[in-house]
Amino acid sequence: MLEVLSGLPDALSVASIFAMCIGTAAGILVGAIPGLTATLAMALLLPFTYTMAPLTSLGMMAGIYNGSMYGGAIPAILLKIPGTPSAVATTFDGPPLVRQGRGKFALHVALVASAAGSVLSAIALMLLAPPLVSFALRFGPVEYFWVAIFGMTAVSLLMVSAPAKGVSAALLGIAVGIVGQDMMTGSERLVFGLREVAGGINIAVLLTGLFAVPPALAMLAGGSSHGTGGISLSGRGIRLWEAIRLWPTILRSGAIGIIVGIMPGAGGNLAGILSYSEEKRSAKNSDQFGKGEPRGIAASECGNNADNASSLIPTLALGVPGNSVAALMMGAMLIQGLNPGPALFTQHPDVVFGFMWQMLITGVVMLGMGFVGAALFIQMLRIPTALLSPMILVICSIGTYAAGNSFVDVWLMLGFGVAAYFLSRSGYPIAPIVLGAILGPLAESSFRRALLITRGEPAAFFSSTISLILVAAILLVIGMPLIRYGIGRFKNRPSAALHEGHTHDND
Amino acid sequence: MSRQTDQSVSLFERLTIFALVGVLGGVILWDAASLSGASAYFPRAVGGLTILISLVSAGAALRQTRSRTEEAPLRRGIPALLILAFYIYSASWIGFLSSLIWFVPAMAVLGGEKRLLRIALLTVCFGLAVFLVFGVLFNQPLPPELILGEL
Repeated sequence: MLEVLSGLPDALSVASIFAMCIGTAAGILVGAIPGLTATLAMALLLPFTYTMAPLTSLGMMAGIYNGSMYGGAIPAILLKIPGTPSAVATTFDGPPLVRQGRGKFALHVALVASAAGSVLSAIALMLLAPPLVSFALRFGPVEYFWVAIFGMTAVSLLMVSAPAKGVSAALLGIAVGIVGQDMMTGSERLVFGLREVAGGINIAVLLTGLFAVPPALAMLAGGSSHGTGGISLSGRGIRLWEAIRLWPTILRSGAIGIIVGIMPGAGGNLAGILSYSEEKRSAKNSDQFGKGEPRGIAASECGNNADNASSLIPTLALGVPGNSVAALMMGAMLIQGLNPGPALFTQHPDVVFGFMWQMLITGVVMLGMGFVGAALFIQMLRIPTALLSPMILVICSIGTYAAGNSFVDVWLMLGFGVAAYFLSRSGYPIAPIVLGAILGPLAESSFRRALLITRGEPAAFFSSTISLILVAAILLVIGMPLIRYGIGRFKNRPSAALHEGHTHDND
Repeated sequence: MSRQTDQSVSLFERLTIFALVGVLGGVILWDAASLSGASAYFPRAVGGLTILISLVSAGAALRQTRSRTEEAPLRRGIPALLILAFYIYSASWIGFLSSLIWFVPAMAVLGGEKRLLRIALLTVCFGLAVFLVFGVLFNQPLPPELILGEL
């Protein structure tokens, strides 16, 4: 624990605090705009982090991550429109409170719960990542190969409704990841004479294209504005004793959010909904949920924020991101020349532990900003989306150009954006592409190093206990869609018989 | 969400995308044919599996009559992508800031914004903000501008 404390002075430097404040404000503003997510905000910022110091860049990212999760609650409560997918469960009890004239109170409940969830999650990150690093030191190339395969299969199969498309997306990501010179033999792969990509595809270019272009296009489809006439903060805010009474809810939802965050392939939306369901199930007045019960808002918001820092545990300790935001965080570290994994903890403890503190401090910063700037943040709902969309695309283009002073990068960003738009329309998930691009090269290099060490002996891939556990976990993940399919068929059989003759669409 | 969600996607579009993904798998396999030894293991596996899964996805799509998406409809998405491509091309000649003067209004009109004064005002404000942030605050080296010259 003492080593964790060593990161605190760096996290409290002037540049770091400034970055955290800017990031948190930007995160709340972005989260408050329906259609804009933490991934989009971080993808927009990523190209600009090249010139920043590591903790300045990561502090800004931490602020955006935590801030956007709370920001998503603002339209969820005031307009019944979740600003981010994670705020879906907040729409159940937020709008009824607004109708009762308690809009300000509802926003404050969301703010307190979000901040508490962020802090709890950061504490979990500080407590759990170092022991996992000690365990990961036992890993060799074989174990890293299986960890990378596990990360890719989990995200490809568990978080999507169409597992084949998830795997396909991960494969496309691996293909992007292997573009360039082979590090071992020097042979060029998938370069096709384009000298600019011989060194590999810039991860910031990929992430910006994938996560910023399709949402910007989708904003054009929504008409010119959100139709937010008459939004105002009504009633009084939260009182101290009311906040204290939320603690049992916060502890329960925080625990759920932390566990969900550690699981690869899960995400804030699952954490929010699970926390809400558990709170409703355990409540004596469960009939009040959905009618303006503050604990419903607190559960959802605490759950989705508690997922944040904990989702970075496997990223920091193993170098295996479990979701797209964690992949973006990893991208920000790679840009700085920092390779997440056990070596990061010994080579750059100031950065890794400083970043953990930043995840905690941004929760507190968010609390202050939320209380002071609520009236300003709801003004974001009035900006016409038709104008926001081109602004996002301009920033994407300039940011991508600035990352490498190259128009080839900007065209590549557009290419990835076009691919993401059409793939997403056809049901391909985007997150596995990023995971494939990051974990594919790790899997390949580990595989080839293992082959060299074991002189091509396949049995070596199944020789250690850790490898066998990982292989079993991979098989379980692969089997899950089949199990779900079987359960679905079993459940639907009687209803299918009853509704025979009716046509169902695959909506 | 206020955006026009839940657009339907035609079977033809989905099959085209599956076919293109399959072709991409073929390209990866073709490129891997020139490689030897361990360099070729992953590209071959990735190319082969991509083709195989595209066939599976196409087979599943034939049984699934309708599919829906929350992405922008084609009538907005394709023109927007073409305008964005032209913006990048334009930026390489006259600069990012000079190009945004036509790009932001064009996209806003495409997105359904009809209040021209508001578009003009926000475009100018945004252009100034971009200039201050990138040109002054970040001192980012950008291509020469037609209007503002070298930043």
